[in-house]
Amino acid sequence: MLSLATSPLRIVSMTVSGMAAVVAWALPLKLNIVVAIAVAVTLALIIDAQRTPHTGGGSHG
Amino acid sequence: MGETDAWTLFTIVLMAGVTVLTRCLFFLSDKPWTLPHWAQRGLQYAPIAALGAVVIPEVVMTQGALIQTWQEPPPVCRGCRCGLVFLAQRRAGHHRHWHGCVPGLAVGPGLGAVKPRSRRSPVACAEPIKAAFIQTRYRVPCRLATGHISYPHAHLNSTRS
Repeated sequence: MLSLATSPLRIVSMTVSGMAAVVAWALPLKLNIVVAIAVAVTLALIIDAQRTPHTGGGSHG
Repeated sequence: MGETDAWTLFTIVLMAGVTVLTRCLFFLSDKPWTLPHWAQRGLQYAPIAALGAVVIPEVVMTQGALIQTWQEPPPVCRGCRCGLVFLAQRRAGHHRHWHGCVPGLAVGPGLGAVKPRSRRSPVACAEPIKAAFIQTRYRVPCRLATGHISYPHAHLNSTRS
């Protein structure tokens, strides 16, 4: 897991997904993992879009 | 037993249809199909998000609840130990990660067997990390079955004296 943490945004994504998975632990059928991934990826996309608003890409991930 | 009703067959057919559809979606169309740009960017964060969603709850939770005390620290200690060993290996320039993983896995059962219900201080939790560093760096065999680092030749010196 740490080998993938190569940028601050990826670390944020990992942290957010972990917190979301803990919060959504009560969901059945391991849906907390799906919810955590969706939340983390969405948040990372929002932050990435705000960091690079005019380049139309140029991800740092 | 042994009876297959229509509802079961319908479920099997439906599951097969979903599987075929999701696996063949990319080449069902004749036109070249690419992911949108935002989806490509999002996929860069999906693997680490998936790993975090699986690993972090297992580390910070036990029996479906957050770890409240340090009475049951082995999951936290194992996670911290593996992370610290990996970071030390990466800082030292070693790219063979199993050098850090093998000692961590080897001392894991020893940590779990030593006083599983007792209150362990952070210093006690740091002992396996220290042992992993020693074993990785200097190739010194260490054993944590008794909770302490022991050197195999130490008893020879003591018997000679």
